[in-house]
Amino acid sequence: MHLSGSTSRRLAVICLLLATTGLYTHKAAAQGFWAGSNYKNGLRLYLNKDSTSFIRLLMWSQIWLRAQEQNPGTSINGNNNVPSTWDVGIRRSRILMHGQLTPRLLVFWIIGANNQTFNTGGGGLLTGPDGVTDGKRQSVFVHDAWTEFKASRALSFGAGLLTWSGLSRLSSAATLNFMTIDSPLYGWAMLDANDQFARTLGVYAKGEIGKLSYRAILSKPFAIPEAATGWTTPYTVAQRTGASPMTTLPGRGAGWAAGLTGMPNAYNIAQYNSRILNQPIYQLYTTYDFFEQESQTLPFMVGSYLGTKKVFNIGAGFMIQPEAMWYRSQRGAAPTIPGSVSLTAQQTTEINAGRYPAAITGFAALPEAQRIALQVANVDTTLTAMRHFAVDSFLELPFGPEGERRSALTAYAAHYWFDYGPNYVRNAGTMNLANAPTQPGSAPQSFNGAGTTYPTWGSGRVFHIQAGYMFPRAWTRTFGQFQPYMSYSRASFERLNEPYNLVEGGMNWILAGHNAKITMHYRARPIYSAATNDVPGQEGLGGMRIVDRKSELITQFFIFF
Amino acid sequence: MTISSLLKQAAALLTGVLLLAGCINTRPRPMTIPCSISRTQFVERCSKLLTDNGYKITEANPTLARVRATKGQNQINIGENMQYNGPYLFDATYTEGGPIIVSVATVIRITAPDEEPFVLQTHNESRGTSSADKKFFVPILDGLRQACAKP
Repeated sequence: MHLSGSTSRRLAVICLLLATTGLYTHKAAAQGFWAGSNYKNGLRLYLNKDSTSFIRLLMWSQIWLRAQEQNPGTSINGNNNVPSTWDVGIRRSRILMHGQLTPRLLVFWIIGANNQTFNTGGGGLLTGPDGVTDGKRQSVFVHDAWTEFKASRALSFGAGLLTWSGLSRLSSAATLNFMTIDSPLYGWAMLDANDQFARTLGVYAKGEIGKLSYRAILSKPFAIPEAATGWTTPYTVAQRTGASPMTTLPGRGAGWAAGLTGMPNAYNIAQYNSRILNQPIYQLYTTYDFFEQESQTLPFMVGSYLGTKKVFNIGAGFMIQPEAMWYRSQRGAAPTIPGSVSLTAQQTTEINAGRYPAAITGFAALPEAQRIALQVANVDTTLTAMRHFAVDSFLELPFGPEGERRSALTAYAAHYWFDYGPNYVRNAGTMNLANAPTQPGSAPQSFNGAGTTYPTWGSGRVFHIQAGYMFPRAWTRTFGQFQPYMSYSRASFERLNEPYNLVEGGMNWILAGHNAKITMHYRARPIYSAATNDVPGQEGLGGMRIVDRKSELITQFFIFF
Repeated sequence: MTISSLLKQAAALLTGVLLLAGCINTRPRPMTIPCSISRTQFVERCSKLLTDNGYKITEANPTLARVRATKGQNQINIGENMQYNGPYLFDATYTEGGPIIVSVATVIRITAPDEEPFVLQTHNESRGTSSADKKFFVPILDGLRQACAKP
């Protein structure tokens, strides 16, 4: 291979720079470059002499390098049945501004982008024939925008687009000091359904009374497009125009909630009510601290203090929204067979056995007018509240004197009781690469859906526990600090035929506190078989068992300052 | 009773309680330390303790046996979250043969010695003060107790 003179010179300069950098790196490491940080409080612009009025600025990027096995039948960019893939993605890239006009007046703002991969940007100029845009130019949006007024230690109140939320510690989790690679998601119980990226528009009160801290929030839920909830307009024009609305709810539009996309016969499976108007979300979370009290200046609850604080608290909370969900239900106590409908003996038996609504796929041979009549006579729409409750506990126990001999145990446990209405389950996968439904010719999908999703929220119970130990810096000296961790989740959702146990583990290589760290994380998510659909009128229910596990290895490169 | 009406009533009740608690937080809550040292010793010892703990002395009067000091806001970064405490106003008065009376408060800003401070919250080591605030004045109280205990 022949290199030109200028190319050789450039290579020589690059080699020299690399060698010099290596020397400096060696010298810096000898001084404990990784281990220590002079960061202190970061970038502040103080506006008065006693520092009570200031503007604070933070910026951060969390970059993920991933190797993933994909769920069965996953299609990515037109490639069917993709078994595995790798990518580099931006999990979070944000800027935070916190303005403290006086100790009583606070304005807060976060802007940023999340979850951009090579095919999930969504802001590209090219749109393919299937309507899928390319993965470039991820949109940046306002995450938090709120103002706060402090009356006393016991009461501050504010309003805006809020991270303040109830239910559990993980529902207002800080994203800059997770112990595990990220949130296990359970606490963000309405994530991007009727909230916006775990934020809601609302008003709140917070405060501390002795060692008790509380936050109470009243929010206006975000609107959800009907199609996005899985519900769609009725399957006939007659119902859509109001001739035969399948609901007895007063004051509602025609043809309400009559079908489910992809599961037109689904019954007794709750989904988000997209037509909710005046029902707020009520949220509360309280903690009692036994040792040092945690800061509630801002909503973000710390994942690990890295031994800088001794904390043990217990917490409890709820998240309630009346009429948040709806589902198709049985109209009367007993089935009704209108006079205009002629059923076979077997069909009559099925109807009488309570297999509602039996008028679409099960009775395909029935004339459409009769199917509609049967459906309308027997199917109703029922509203139900979303009611979630949780108890949790957080522990941070430092050992040894401050400095390089300090180590720390961090642990957190939470138990959730989720009620989204009957049989609700939502699959979720962070930065999911599956960008289209499974193409023809693909293997049948699992219940999980395509990509890296797995059942994350649903009516039922979830127990989650995580624990990690930060080794003393004295053990590794200039090489940073290590914090291995494990987490375990057990989810029992009523729609699934068996609960899952999910064990995850990882290691934080802490280079400068939470300000700079590299994390490796492993997860083997459960794969559920698809619903058997063997009972007419009960599609989407039954037969969902764990049939496989799919692995995911994530490395996170994270710096904030 | 529906969930909505129950929650609304609970919210109204909670707000009332919290507003009341808010008023209590600013009422004077002085702490007393029995002592038998001289006025001069008190002023010297107290001033040193305050200076050692980062306070700025604004008044040290042996005649009145009064020491006043201020400390600016302390901020700690915790990821997105942060914690700030202070600024503090520390006021200790001593009557020879009687107790030292100490008042500590978080004020909205540090004022000049002749200015009336705007109190955000009064502090007491026994109750109604967070451990984060206690860190900034309990060591001084302990130091005074130690000084007063000396024969």
